[in-house]
Amino acid sequence: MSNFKSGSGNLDFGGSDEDDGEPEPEPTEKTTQTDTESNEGDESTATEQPGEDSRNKTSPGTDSTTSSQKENRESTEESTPATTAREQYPYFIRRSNVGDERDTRLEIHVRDRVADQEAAFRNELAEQLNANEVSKTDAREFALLAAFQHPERVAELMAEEGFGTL
Amino acid sequence: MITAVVYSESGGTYKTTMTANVAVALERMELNTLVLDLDPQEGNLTSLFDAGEHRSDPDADNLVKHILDMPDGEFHDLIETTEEGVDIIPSHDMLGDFTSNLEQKISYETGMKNMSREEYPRFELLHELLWKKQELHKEYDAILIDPNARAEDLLYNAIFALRTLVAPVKPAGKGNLSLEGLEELVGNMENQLDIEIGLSCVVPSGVGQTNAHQQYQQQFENTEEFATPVSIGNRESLMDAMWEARGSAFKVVEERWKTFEKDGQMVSEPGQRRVRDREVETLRRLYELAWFIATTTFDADIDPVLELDIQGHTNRTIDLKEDDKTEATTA
Ligand SMILES: Nc1ncnc2c1ncn2[C@@H]1O[C@H](COP(=O)(O)OP(=O)(O)OP(=O)(O)O)[C@@H](O)[C@H]1O
Ligand SMILES: [Mg+2]
Repeated sequence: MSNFKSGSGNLDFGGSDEDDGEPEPEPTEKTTQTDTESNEGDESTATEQPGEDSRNKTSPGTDSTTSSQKENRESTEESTPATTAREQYPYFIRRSNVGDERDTRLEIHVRDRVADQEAAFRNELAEQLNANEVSKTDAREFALLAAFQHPERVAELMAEEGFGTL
Repeated sequence: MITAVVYSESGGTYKTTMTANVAVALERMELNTLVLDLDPQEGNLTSLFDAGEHRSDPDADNLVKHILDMPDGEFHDLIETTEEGVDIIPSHDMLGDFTSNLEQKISYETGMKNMSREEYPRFELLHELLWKKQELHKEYDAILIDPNARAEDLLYNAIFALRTLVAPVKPAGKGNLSLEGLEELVGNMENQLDIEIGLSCVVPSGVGQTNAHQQYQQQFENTEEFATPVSIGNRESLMDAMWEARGSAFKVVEERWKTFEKDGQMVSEPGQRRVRDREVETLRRLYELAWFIATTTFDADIDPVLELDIQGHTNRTIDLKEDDKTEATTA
């Protein structure tokens, strides 16, 4: 069952490139985020959708060569030079999908009382950003970024819960 | 936003029945719910919900015309509201000719734009319509699709647009775990269209009391590869009565619809059905299924209290959260 991701798929209602609707709002606080963004750019891949070439008229169900196609695709992806879109446009503008450029999957285990706060946190974020909703993936990635920028706050919280007192 | 295509590879796995019941359960959780019926055949969701008066009128505006961007009216005029509050975009005979209509459109447009046929995004049209043109995520909390069973353009459009599957499965043959076909389809779509498709859960349905059936269900429940929050028993009498009540299993029980012989003829009437504990239990499970999809898969915030207003009986309240607690303490 390796193909199935358990849970929901990567549906995102945010604007795509050719979308004439409003793009997803950019984070308002831009502070030091830029240096992380340029780090990200170092390992960048092309922004062209690699799926385009292999898309064809036959139904996906009848195609049996896709797994090797996928491997091919991944290797070409790595060797394709990065386009300038990466440097020119902020992440939320250039991406068309919530999964775009997010090649690393982090799994975290948390206490219930932490998990229980996530919905409220995302609502609050959406409110601040004037958006309908903020996807879990976006909220989590940027929460992590915020923490990276404020390790002292993180340390404080950990100390409050007795880290290092033994 | 909750989005799910109720689909599994084999036919007759109670997809239509499940779509109706989950949709009504979500609506009862106060989620504004829309269902799309993409199956042009008889016995579809549209006839179950007693909608789609013009489904056989070739001149009537319908979903296909909107998917192909040749509407004959307002999109919102396609939407009907069923008695139980769920909105539906009904089926239409034109769904049966979807692929040939699509081919014509592709020929025309690729000719105009000097584009190759292969480049045409033939599986992305429904996505474009629902989210980009109509922005239905701003209007609804949940959208479900009952696709046509054949693996072709419409099904791929449905999966591309909603990205998440709920898979009802039926004990079959020797009861092996047969999601292979589904897995292959999903894998191929993901690779070719560069999307990620999620499997919310698998729901064994029509599970009888035989050893083979029970083993089959166990096998599914024991696998860690996907979630099986509930299984639904063999409830032919209850589910068949939905087609008479023109609504969900909740409606059948509450209005007590029953089919029986009267003066040598089969008739169906409300106010006749006995209230059976196992049927109430089935309603609880259907509600739990909807709750699982809404909260575990999609992170919605819901108070899972099922109020049953059964005709001629005192109201029953089933609080799934309390069940959860009692299960946790007895475990
Ligand atoms: N849990 C159940 N136990 C027994 N019978 C059921 C159950 N659920 C539904 N049925 C009955 O099975 C029949 C087929 O169900 P349904 O139309 O939902 O299947 P389907 O998967 O949509 O079929 P198709 O592939 O033709 O679209 C209906 O008569 C329905 O009442
Ligand atoms: Mg059906």
